[in-house]
Amino acid sequence: MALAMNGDDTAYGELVRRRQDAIRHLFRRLTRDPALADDLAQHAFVLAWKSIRTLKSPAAFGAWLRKLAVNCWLQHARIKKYEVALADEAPCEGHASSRVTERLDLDAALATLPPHARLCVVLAYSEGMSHAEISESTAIPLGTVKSHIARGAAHLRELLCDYGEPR
Amino acid sequence: MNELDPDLARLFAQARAPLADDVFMAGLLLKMERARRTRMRLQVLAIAAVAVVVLLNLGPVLEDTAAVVRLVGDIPPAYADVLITPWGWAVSMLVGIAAVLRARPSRR
Repeated sequence: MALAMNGDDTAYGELVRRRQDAIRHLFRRLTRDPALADDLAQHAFVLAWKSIRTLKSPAAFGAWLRKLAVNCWLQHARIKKYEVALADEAPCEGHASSRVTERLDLDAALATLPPHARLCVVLAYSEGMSHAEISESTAIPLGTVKSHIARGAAHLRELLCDYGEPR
Repeated sequence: MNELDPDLARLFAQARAPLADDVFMAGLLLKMERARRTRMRLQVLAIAAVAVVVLLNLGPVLEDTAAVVRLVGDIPPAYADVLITPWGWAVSMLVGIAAVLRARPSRR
């Protein structure tokens, strides 16, 4: 970490290798497009590489990187003005139970959420962040974060009804 | 920690299959190299811009400096003794700054 902060590209490469999985998964859940997700993840890692010297504490790298990634996503969502339309695929119609199908359905269901709600749900469920941490990372008010997560989760449950235990 | 729906949490956990990193890393290294080259080009451009500004201003500044030097050279030796006292030095500095400010090319 210290080497990477002093401009050692090999050390930074090792850091990326360790963190790339988490960041790429975060973007995959957010974009539903693996190529775009990798592109955004690379962009986030390049931004982190450019400004790693400004990082105050090496221990904060993970949270700092995630915040950078969230900002990349918000910027991307702002530029693209993502349309909130129900995906072409109907998430509840398929009955295949393989993990790949579950993943596709989860991503399709997530894609039906508005960008900010999707971001809050993904940060809570995929990254394990608390509501307060999400609010701090995204600059979305805490109350809005809570309602995004509650409504988003209810919406996902409805769409993914085939996969959960009967409630 | 906030309460999460266990079924949804399970689905999210299952969706985290390990991803191959070789293609991703190759693409990232390419982007880092491109960013490095862009930064270098911008630095060269900035240096060139500063050099151009310096070159454009050098002529008039040198002319005015020469005029000031000539003026100082014309000062009789009696005044030269005053110039090397602290007060003389301070006054001469103020006169010098005023002369430089007056000679600024942007004022022309």
